[in-house]
Amino acid sequence: MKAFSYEIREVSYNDYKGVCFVLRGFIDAHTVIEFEKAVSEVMDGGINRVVLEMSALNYVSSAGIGAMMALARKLSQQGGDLVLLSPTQKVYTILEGLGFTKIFKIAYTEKEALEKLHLADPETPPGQQ
Amino acid sequence: MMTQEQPTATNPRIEICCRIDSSMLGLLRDFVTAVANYLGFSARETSEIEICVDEACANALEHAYKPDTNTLEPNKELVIEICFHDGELTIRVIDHGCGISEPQARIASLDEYLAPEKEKFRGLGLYMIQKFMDRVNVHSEPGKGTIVEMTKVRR
Repeated sequence: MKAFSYEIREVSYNDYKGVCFVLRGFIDAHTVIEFEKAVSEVMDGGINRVVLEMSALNYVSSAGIGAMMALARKLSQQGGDLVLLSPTQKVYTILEGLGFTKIFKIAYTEKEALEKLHLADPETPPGQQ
Repeated sequence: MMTQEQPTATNPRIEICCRIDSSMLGLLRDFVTAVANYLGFSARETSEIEICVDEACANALEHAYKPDTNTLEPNKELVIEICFHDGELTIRVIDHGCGISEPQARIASLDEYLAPEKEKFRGLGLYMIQKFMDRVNVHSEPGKGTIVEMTKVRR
């Protein structure tokens, strides 16, 4: 199994666009460089709303959490946001034990993730948020 | 101090001496996870042990063997001692790198880590170890190396 891999797909709702990274494997002190490079390239393209789909990500070390924190802060500074989608129980337990479940936005369905990014809120059409 | 009692399968004492780079952290995590599972730690406890050993090893790789220090060890040798006795798993991660002064002062609080001006988020490793293990001691001496000793009690 490859230590870390990802796929990128676009998520959109009306005029809003974001990207979803489908993450697999683990993010540790070794693989974090690949993760940082991937998100950096996407952000250079002007994207400021990001979902990290984590159901197949079986481990995240402090290096990975730090990279996610840096991404969340950068997105926030650019008026965007980050949502973690479907972390495994193991990863959630670590995030919770450190207090990061109160810091990161976490969702368990793509619709919920998009709502948390304000990409899918039928009650609030784009332009009226 | 590690116990000197004769090791057995239920009371093991294991020493791993390895020359590693960061690509081998996953292999070390798998080994420590297997040991913790074998000794009957819960899934949650095992995850916590796994991440703490990973953080200690990653810290050693990043900080102990900086290329600009005179104590450079080209092969980044680490020793990991694992000892289980009376329901307590003690793991020592030992490097012979540059060492640091006042190692306890390097443990950042979460508030420091999350400071609003920060763009890079580093230094969570020792905080994690403090949070997830029952006892932690860091012994370090400039020029001689660092020992991170951590104990997890099986519940």
